[in-house]
Amino acid sequence: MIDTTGTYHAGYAVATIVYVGYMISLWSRARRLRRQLDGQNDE
Amino acid sequence: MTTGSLRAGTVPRASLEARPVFDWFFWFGVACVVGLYVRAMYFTPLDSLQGAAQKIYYIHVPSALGAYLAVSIAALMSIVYLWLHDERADRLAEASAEVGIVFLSVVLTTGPLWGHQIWGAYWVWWDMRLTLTLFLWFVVAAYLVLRGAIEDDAQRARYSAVLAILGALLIPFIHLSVYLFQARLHPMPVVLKPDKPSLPGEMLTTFLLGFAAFSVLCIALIRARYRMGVLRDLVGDRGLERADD
Repeated sequence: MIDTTGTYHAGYAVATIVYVGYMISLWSRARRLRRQLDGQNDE
Repeated sequence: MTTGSLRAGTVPRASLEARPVFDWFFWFGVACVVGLYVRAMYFTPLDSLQGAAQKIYYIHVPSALGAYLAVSIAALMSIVYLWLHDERADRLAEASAEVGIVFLSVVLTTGPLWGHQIWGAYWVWWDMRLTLTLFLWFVVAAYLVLRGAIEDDAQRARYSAVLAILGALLIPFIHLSVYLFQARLHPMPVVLKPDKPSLPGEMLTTFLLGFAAFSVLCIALIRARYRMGVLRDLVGDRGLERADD
């Protein structure tokens, strides 16, 4: 059997980076919006 | 926390309520995928021909099915929007399209890595499943760019709805492309086919768990993105109210 472990690790790493990156983007945008909303409520 | 204000060019807006973007269902989706990673990495046998690279299958194909699901929801909600002019359908279509492009990006990066190992090439243009999937990625990207380019809410929702419906028409062609074209590198389906699945038992179980896990993650992300859209519209409405005052 050929050793394809590197490809396997690369595939899982890439998928994880894309999904986690999107989650961080969602969290960051939601936090900014929440702050704006709180600021509007305070005024 | 509700508001019922009206933007220019929209039908009357239902009252909005800001809910947590990340709640228990989001973390449940993340936990499902982490569980799937553990199952695929440590409790699923290696393929005798491809070795460890075959395990990319358990994230590549479920991500593709998640992308189909997200783009189909975007198209379905676009039809609902064109029919009822309900802004919630438009917001859900937008959320689904954004999540769809994330899943498509995973498909289009993990696939070539696997293909390079097994086929000897990262990409071949004459494999219609590859090319049509890339085309779908461009259509969804165009959908998101279009939404960012149109100011008027109703016009944006209407134009982008048409694009989402046209984009989703690619999905059956992508799935059936291995039947329609003789020249291809993608194999015939081993699970989603009329006959019995031809994967061994443990591999089939991991694949089905992967399908369930990525479907839950897809819905959890769409739900989180929808709630972020509500938050954005609330902020926009408050800004307009203040400008009117």
